[in-house]
Amino acid sequence: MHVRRVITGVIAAMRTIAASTIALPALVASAFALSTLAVSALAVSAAAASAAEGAAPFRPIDPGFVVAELPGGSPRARDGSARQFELSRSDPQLAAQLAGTLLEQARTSAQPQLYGRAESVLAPWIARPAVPAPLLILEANILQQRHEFAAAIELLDRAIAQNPRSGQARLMRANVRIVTGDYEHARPDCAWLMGSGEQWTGSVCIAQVLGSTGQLERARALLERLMAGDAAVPSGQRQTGQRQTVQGQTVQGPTAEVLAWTLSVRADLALRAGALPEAQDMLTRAVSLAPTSDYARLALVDVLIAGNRLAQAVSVLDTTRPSAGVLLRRSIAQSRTHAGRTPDSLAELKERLNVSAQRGERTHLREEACLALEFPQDGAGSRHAALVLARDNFSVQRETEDIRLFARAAVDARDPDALATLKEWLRHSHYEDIVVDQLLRSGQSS
Amino acid sequence: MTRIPGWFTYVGAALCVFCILGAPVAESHESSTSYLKLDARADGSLDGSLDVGVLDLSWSVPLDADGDGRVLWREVEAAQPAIAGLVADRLIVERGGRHCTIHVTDVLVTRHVGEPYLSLPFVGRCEALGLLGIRSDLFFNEDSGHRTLFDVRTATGSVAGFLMVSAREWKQSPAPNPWATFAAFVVQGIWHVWTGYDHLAFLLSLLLPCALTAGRGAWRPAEGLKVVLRDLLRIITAFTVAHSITLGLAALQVVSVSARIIEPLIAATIVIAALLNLFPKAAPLRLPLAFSFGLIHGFGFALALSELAPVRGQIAALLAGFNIGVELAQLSVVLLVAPVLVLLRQSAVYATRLMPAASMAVAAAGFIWLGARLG
Repeated sequence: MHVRRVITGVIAAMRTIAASTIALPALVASAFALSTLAVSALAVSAAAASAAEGAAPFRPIDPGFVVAELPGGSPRARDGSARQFELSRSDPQLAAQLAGTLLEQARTSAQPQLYGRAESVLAPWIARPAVPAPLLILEANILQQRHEFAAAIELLDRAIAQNPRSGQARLMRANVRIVTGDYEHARPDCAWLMGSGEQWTGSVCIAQVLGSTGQLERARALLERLMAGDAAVPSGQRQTGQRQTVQGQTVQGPTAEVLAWTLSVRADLALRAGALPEAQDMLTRAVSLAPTSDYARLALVDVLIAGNRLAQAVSVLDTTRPSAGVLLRRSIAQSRTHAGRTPDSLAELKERLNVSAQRGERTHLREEACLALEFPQDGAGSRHAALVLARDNFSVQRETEDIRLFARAAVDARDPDALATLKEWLRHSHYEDIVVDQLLRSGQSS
Repeated sequence: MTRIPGWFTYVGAALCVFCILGAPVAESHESSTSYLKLDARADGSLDGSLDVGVLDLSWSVPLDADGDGRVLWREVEAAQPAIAGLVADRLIVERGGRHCTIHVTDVLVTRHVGEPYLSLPFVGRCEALGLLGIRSDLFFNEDSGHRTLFDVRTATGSVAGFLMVSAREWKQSPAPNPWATFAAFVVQGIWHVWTGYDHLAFLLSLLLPCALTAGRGAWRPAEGLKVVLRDLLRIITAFTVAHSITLGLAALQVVSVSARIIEPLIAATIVIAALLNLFPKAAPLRLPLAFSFGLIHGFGFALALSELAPVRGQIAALLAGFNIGVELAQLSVVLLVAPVLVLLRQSAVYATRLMPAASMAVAAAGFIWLGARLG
């Protein structure tokens, strides 16, 4: 009996090892060490308090103690706003104006309450059967910021049906579709923008579609030409926001914000092609053009962190009222600067994510997935948890970061289903990203 | 830009490209939140606190009397009656269908997620019996993104949730039948062992030598059924007592351990326990090892339980049910395996070949799991 001989041989060998070495005591010792380790691990963390606890309440002794700074200006301005709030219920023009102002204030001053106020202004109008297109667009803007993309598209469809020449609605609809990975449906709106004199925004729009559907280099060349054309106009004659005639064509000169957006898109395409220094340069320019926007800032920090320029990353992240994305990147940069130390920002980020979860929101899936991958010892625990978050996030939004997170989590967890889902999507969409390709290759070889 | 109706130009200006970049902008979109804590006791007394954002409150109550853009403590103190009035007006707590009284007793300063808040402790009286209900109209009309996170404690347990613009009320639901919950967790406990291959593997490596005794460096068949059963009982009891201790401690959140530590440890216990079966000399260690490894496996059960029952309210019943389920499943395995072992023990092949081969197979499986969980 061959098998029997083999088994006997192996057992004999094990016994010899036991007899000739310290195998047995070692086994016993490691067994006890393991259980001691488990019991001592208990001491590591006591039950965590609820995130909603907040700081311990206190009574200030000094009557002049500053409880809060009001970013909204004087009380008279607020009273005025309250009156307008009432008037806006019967005046759609005033409602659009007020909601637009509130959204702009919310965006530039990082006062999240103002988004809710803008929505309250719109609420009585949105409930009506016939809603003026501008109000639909404003509401769609709020919805897409809450990641309610399908609902936002529905409102934009209605706005465009009412006013097919609304560039805002077309651009917003195209962008929502690009963010969700629905490139083919974004294409007609981008084409419409190009054909209607919105050549600049239309070009950036279509470059995003091309760049995600197998024509990354063509998209990069398109935007390079677009900006080269803009640069061809001597800077002395050039004013942002003004119409220019370039090579016989009338081109709308971009505003600083549109230029920053264009640079961000170019940087994104460059990153996916592996051109990090070029991307860093473009994002640095984008941040200086649109300093109040988190979009280019966070993308720049990601490039800096990837290049291990941590101190520079931290300085770019030095903003007041930091967003969850800022806190996440601060934590990553801090933990890499001081290995082994828990970053200060991490607790604040977790508290915020916790409150968001308790509010029943799922708008921070991206940050949660990244947190679980970057800080596995502090996160939900397993690789599986990180993958669930990254997959859920991927099902909602598909920007470069979302796709990379999903690839990273799937490779980390070695999950064949997730890897198959991702590969199938990449094959189907012809999406290109050098980092995703590298991740998938490393997953195959390990 | 495109041709747009005259009054739309303003909106057009506000709708900058960066606003419509979708997801990235949501980074900064975190709306206002207030926090309500409520403790309704069986004697009808009520106390709690409502924490409201200073910025949110400043829209409803004038807090910046001198208009310098800063809210000072003396301004808050002066506004206290107005604040208390607003809360009494807009926050309704009821029990047994009747409104409770609510009196804000103080105003304190606190912070949530880095933002300044006022904490408003309150007391009140309710009906002693009946189901509790909350309704809030604070800030929802002015800010549709507002949420009130509540944490309500009653004699029967605690509930957490939130109120929002479209759901401003919460009503306590009648307590679920505790026996039904208990039974459901017994089933979950049984299921966890039956489908959890690693616990089965560990149990098997403990059981394999139970029908044998170690003597003069070799395994030989145990003398009589009584000896076998006594050995079985001692080993299984040691394992059970140990895992009940850690399951209880972890489930009651006295201690907590990460899955990252426990899962590889469980795989390691399987490897070690199975390998020790190859050494008859190690037989006296089986009992202490069953106990110490049981401690580790208890944490594994606790991780499974924590996935099933994130709510702490009925934890004692859930814990008991789950543990009883685990024991029943374990007993079923013993009843299935033990008779086979008793019958096999007289065969010379069992002690010398079969048992070591099975142990090695279990050790190999454990080793593969260990690799997978560490890798």
